[in-house]
Amino acid sequence: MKQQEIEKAKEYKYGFTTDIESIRAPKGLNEDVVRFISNIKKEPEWMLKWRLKAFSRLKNLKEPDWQKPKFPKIDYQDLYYYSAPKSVTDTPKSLDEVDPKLIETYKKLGIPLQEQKKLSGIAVDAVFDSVSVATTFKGELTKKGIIFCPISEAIRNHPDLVKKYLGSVIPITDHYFATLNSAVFTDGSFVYIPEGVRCPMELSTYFRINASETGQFERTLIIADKGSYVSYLEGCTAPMRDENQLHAANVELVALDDAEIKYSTVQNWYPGDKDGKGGIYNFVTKRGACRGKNSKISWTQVETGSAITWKYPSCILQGDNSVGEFYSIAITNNHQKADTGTKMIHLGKNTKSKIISKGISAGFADNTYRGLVKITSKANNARNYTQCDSLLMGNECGAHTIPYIENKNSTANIEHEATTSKISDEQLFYCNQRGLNQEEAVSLIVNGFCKEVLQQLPMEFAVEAQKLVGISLEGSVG
Amino acid sequence: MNLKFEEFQKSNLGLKELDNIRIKSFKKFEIQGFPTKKQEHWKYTDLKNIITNNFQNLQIFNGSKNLVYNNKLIIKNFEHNKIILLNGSFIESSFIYEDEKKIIIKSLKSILENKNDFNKIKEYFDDDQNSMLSLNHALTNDGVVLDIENNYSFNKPLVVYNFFDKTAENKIINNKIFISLGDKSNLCMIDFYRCENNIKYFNNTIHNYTIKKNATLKKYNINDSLDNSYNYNSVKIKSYSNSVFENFLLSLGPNLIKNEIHCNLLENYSSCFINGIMLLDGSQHHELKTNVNHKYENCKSSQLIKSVLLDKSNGTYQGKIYVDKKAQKTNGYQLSKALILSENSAFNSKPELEIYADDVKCSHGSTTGNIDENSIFYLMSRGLTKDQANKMIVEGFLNEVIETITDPNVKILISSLFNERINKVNV
Repeated sequence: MKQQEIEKAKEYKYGFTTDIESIRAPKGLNEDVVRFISNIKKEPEWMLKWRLKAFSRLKNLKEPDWQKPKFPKIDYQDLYYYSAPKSVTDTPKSLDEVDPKLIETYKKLGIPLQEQKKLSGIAVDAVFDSVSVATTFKGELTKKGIIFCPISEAIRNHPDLVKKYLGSVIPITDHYFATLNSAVFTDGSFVYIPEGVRCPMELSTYFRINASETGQFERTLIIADKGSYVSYLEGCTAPMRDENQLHAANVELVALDDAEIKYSTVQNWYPGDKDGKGGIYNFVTKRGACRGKNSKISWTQVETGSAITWKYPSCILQGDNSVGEFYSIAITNNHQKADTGTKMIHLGKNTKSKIISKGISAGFADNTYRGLVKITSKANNARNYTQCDSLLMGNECGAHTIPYIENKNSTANIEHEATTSKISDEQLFYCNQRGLNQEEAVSLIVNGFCKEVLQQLPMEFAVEAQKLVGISLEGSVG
Repeated sequence: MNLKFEEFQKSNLGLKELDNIRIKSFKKFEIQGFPTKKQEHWKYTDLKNIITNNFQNLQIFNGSKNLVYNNKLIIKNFEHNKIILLNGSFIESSFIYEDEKKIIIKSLKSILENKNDFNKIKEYFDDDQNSMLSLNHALTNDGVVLDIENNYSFNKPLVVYNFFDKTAENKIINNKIFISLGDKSNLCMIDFYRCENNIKYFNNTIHNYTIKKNATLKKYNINDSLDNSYNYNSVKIKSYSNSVFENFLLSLGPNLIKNEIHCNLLENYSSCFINGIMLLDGSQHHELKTNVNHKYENCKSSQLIKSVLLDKSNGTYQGKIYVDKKAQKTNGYQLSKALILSENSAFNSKPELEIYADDVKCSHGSTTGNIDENSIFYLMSRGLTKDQANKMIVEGFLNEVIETITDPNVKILISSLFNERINKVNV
């Protein structure tokens, strides 16, 4: 860069800060954009340094290309890395202006009218229930010493905790998308559960007021101190129209001695239209570290949206007797593609892991389970059980299973099984005969197929997720 | 690594087309080098590393004048037909139990010299999926081409002896074997490896089989004697309507072996069975990679691999079932079981399914673990020592696969070779 340009950029930087409501970062990915984001978030110097380190590392990295779903090359210079919330004038003013299809889906999911408005991006006045709900909850949490706030706030108010744990599970030297996120993440959640505290409620981004506007590069950090417990819900439970093409979030979980984290996701981003046009690329890095003895991390995910889902929520089982679990339902329809699974890295003694994955593929979709179970030589008496089942609907779709099983310990015990099948005509006939129509029958059978995973979801999600399963597969049979 | 290709090429000048293929293929190899673990299919076998660590001066084997093989290595008390290869080159064959009019056998060397013959197999020099295949295309100068006519069933098994002697030391030997079975013909064949004086060599072999309508090929790989060899075997099969391919691997011997089996089920009702056992000790490194491609309806495939790992050995099973969109009513099955009996051994498995048709029955399973304590307790409570109990369990575990061999005579032979080996091993 020439001297002149640098000067200009410096000017520009200060120019940004005036009005966050109406300005977005200039298009493109460069150091100035990183500085801009850090500045707008009023971050301390160390955070900016951290971001810049990630950015300089990014320059030497290449996008991974081993995944099954191929996609056109992303032009990283053609993206906005920070975009302020849309102004009130941009958003639809009433539900009449919202896509009727979307409303129909909301109704099917049984979402109350007020929430429908919020989810469609309609400016809602302060009477809206969940705002007050959120504040009452917040009071209760603070009483217990639980910190639950946006990560940008945590960087300012709890720098010690953030410094200690941010990047400790997903280092900034990780793969391309994780490093990209480290450089340009805009917001996300921060949770800290103090020693011995059992979080009295399910924490959810849903309660956070600005949740629906968080950017495409979220960063979540959850720390469960000794003997604590937390259950965290993530995601939007209704289809969200989103123009963003790339969604590259990072989620880090840290469980210390005897702590337990339960992380549930219901992901239903815009999957693109019937011909596979548009939709979100959901490239998320989720990783949890069971650092302490007897700790436990459990991932549950229901993936029904996104044009491409490419993620592997993983557990690093460092502490002795720690437990990792992964329950997943991945549904792909039309031209959706998913390459998802998990990694279980056993490092400590007597560590256990369990993987239950259900993949459903319909239309022209491609659904891949890819997983790694790695037992290192010190992980005595490690135990793993993996089951991945795939269901195919129609003969234009694909279902793939690619497990990697690496064992270096003679006392370990690993089991893996996988099956692939379709809904049989007999099953459908049986349901039809009892008065269910084709779609109801499919929804019933698929729900039965997924039951093992759905049971793991917290109550709030389970009902919606069940309905979602049915809706995602509408029109795929018959 | 400095392979003197030009020298080899000059002394093997022949058909122009072949010369071009050699040069082109060697260039490809030079660009890629020996495969490393960065390549997905070689993730668990870093060949480049293994070669640099074990061969200081690996050279191209350029045919030997010695045509005398050691007679003592022939299998005794077992009636069979013979094909003998010494250091990869065709030496002789005998089909005393068969109608020789129905069998056409030629050395690959003679075919490479004849333009018409070469044109028939030219397509097999085109496959460059990995650099080892390219290297093979560049350096092959001998092997066997065996054609069996329609409606002919072999009376006795055919043993293909692969002998290696001192001249192969520190050399890389490349050859190709072609076997084609006509309609309704039957062949039971044993691929048998032996080397003298425990020499160190690298053998890179490509087999190509064509199994026509209603034909059956049973193939048994016997790699039982402990030796210092390093091997890469790639087998490609084309199976036509109603044909059967049965493969059994006795993977006990060499320091390093990577077996690759690519089976293409091209027509209705063809089937493929791949079973194998690995019993490894020392610092042996064996890998089996299978790739069963269901390209048509109603085909069936099944794989059963059992492994026992001792000392510092390393075993890998990478199995893949691919089901094409057209291949409805496929039945595919894969099972890998491994016992890891030593702290320093490792087993990796990657059983993979890639499915594009919906009316299929495909499943796989993979287990890795140690011997169940309860079973040992049971046997010890009946008076066996711990060692005896261990051995009995390992033997039973592996014998299950030997039981799947359908040819009774071969089963006896393999059983006895296996017992010989297991008695030497310290479980």
